[in-house]
Amino acid sequence: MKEYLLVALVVFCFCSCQTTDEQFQQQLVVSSFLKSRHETTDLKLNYAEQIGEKLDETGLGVSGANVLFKHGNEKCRLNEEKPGLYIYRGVQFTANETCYLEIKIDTFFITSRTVIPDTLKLLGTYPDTITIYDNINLSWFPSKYHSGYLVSIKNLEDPDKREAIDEDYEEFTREGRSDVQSYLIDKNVTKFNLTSIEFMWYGKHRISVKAIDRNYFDFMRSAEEQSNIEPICHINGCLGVFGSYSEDSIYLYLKKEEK
Amino acid sequence: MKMIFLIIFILANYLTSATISGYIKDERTGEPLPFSSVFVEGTDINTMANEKAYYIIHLKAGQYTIRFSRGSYTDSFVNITLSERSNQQINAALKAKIGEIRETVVYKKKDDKTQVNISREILSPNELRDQPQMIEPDLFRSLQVIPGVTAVSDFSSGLYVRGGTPDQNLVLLDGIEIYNVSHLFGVFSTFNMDAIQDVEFLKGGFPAEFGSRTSSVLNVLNKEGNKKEFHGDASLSLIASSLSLEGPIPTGSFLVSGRRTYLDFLTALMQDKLPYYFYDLNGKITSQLGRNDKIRVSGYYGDDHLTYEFLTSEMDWRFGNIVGSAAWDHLYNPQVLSTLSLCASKYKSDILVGSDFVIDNGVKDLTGRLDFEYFPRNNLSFKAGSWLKWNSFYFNEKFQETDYVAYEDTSYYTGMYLQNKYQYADKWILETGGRLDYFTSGKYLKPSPRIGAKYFLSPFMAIKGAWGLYYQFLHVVNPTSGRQGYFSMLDYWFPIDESVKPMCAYHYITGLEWKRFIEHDWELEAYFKDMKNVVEFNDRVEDPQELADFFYHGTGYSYGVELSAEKLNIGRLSYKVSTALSWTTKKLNDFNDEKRFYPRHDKRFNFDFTGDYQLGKKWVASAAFKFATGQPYTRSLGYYYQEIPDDEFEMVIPGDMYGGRLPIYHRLDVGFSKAFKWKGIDFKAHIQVLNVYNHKNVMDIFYNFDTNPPTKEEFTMLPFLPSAGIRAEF
Repeated sequence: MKEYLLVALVVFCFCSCQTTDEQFQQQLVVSSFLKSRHETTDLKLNYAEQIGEKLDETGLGVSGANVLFKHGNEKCRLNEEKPGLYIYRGVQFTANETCYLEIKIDTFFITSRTVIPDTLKLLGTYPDTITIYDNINLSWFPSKYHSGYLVSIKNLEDPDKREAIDEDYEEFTREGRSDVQSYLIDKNVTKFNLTSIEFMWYGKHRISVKAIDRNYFDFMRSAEEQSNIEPICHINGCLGVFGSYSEDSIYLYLKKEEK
Repeated sequence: MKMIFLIIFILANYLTSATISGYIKDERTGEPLPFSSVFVEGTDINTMANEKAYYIIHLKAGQYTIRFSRGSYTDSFVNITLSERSNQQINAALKAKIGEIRETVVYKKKDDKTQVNISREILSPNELRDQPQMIEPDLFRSLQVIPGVTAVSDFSSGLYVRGGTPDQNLVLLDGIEIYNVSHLFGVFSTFNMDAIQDVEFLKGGFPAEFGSRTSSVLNVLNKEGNKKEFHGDASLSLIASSLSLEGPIPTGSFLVSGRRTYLDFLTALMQDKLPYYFYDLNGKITSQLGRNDKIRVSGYYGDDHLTYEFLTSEMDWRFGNIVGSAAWDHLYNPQVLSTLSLCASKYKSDILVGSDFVIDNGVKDLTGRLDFEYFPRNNLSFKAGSWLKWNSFYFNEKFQETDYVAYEDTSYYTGMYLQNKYQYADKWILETGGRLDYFTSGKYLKPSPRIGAKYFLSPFMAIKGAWGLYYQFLHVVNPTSGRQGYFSMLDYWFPIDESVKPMCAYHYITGLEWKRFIEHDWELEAYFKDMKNVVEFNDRVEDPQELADFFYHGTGYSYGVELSAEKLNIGRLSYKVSTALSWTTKKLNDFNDEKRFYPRHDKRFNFDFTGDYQLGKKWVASAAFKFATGQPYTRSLGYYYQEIPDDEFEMVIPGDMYGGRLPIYHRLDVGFSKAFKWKGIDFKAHIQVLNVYNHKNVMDIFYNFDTNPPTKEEFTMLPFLPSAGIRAEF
């Protein structure tokens, strides 16, 4: 009798912490960022893949979707140039304009909207070459209709050949990190102090400052790679981001030099 | 009319009875021994000393033999002759059983028929030291083997008590509230075992004298120091050393204890970098001013420091507590004593990255406290008191001279309580009480009734129960608490206001204790905890207008059954087994589609074994085994790459919040210690092996996106880990 009770208790314990029976459901992913005063705009439409399944980058582009941008009284239908890549040429979005997105495919109906930020312009002049002992103060003319700024520092050297500034630091940041360092800046701040801590490698870099809309801003502040909480998307019917921005950038060469 | 008779009866009894009272001390050191038992031989009269080691017994005139008892000490007997209305002060001195084969090891609760003792554990660090530890002896890790207490990982010393979170535990060090109890990013707690005298841990249903938290109370009492001779302890482990000095001063004693880690030096020797250390200092001075007055002054300072140098920049992170208190114990007469305490506590965490990024946060606390204890009869006692507390909170986040967060707030908290204990006909013990709290931020006035009862079915078997209402006015925001890990050094304390209601919890507890049954002491407890106004930090808040907008609000409850058995009269073998079956769930508005979920610390089934075996007078072998069903985690169902200008994110599609379970956890630790004498100094050396069979206990699951498809990888906890250390007493 005691043995039966013990077995029943063990079975009860294990049954009581069974996991929920969840299944992956096919979902679409949108990536589209409208750039202020830029004539070409594109939208990528992909399927997400189930964990454990191989992601075929070409095969998961979603073909045959009806993709529409609406702004003002205009409706722009995007052409599918590759599987999952939809492009429209010849449209210019202007500041404070609201652009609506509509995608129809099979049973999916996806909608979103974005307000285009005003132009962003970096102020002053910047050197072409710096060392890690130099500080550069980026500043820009304040934008409008934006939710924040995004400063990105991207290394443009060949990943297999570039030289790390600090081997320990490289070790610290290498796993799972992209080669872009990004900083979200409050919408009322118009300067950024670029110091050595923002760089990981020597060589050529592109430094960009973007005034970004709410969708882009909320995604950046909430997105965490491999997080168990979904980022804030402001998009109905699928995953992804439909955002907009304006941008200015400079190129810098970070030179190795002893002090 | 009944009241008049009762008063007359009490007065008559008072006028004809005599009392014996006094303090129970260690014979060798003269230090008080709180929670020791006192028995009047040949009668059913007994009592337990309070946390100041004070006791009082009312007796009729006559001759008696009084027995003073505490496990790991030899019983002391005193014969007395009492005349009517006399007050005899008997300060008992107990002799520690050093180097003897034990009879019993754990002294808590045994034969004590004066307390309800529900959900209560009293622990002595001297005995805990013999258990296998994670490199350094640590109080919180020892508490994690108590049924009803869980940890989220091997690397965390945080206590999750019956479904509560660490910020719901009231942690007191000599009466001072400690706001952050972690060292080494949560791996160890702030308490230096060398400085601790006793630990009282109440995991639910605690009495009215404790307020402002909804889950548990950890009341740590530091040693007062040797009153008879100078004495020192030094210990050395793989990562830290400590030194304690204690001795007499005119009218009293002192204790100074400090420790420091040397991971920074060791890793530097191995051509690696872990530029981290912590140190802490404990100090206490006690002075006996005549027979009736005692002054205690104690302090603690702890500092964790991490620096990491980049080429031209440096990350510097310091966090720790600084606390101090002064207390005055006064005995008005043998039946009435009071304690007036003034305490100050501060926790701070300062992070500086280069000159760009600054995060400062902290909490300051000033508390005044006055407590009275009154023992009119053997079966009746009262305790009353009041707290007055001022808190200040700050949190600043600055990036490149721009303030992103600049938060500062203060609050006042007052609490008054009255509780009494009544024993009836040697069968019943009834503990009732109430507390009235007022919190200025939000103007909340909250009464909290508490009740506990115990009924003896036989001399060795009793049923007991407790019910209480508990309020909490402060919370912790921790950006990591809602995720897979928990790093307590990122705790930010804040007070509620009118937009965030105080959290409250109803505790319902019932239990059965059965002593000396099949040579074991058995404890069975079942509980239900109903939590209202639970808040969880919402780090995705959009356009907050008031404090409430920063949180998800909801409810939670936990319930479970706990069973423990402790071997009695063991001789060489001592062990305790405990098991718990428990459930914890929460439901928050606008979170997880408003579905109820099991939080990370919900562990359905736990089994713990701790024991040791005296191989001789000098050798002790010890073992600890833990088994637990898997903790909840959020599964990843799908994945995708989110492209953004200039970059790409590897994203997973999460399933239901904490809808999955990690694999089963189990781990066996063993240790051996040997006591020996060398050049007149007592040494105790130990070797320990954690996770003897190197079971890979999973802490988290993530995916490696360097492969296609991304491959599942498991982040595992402590591997096979040997350690050694030595301790010297001089």
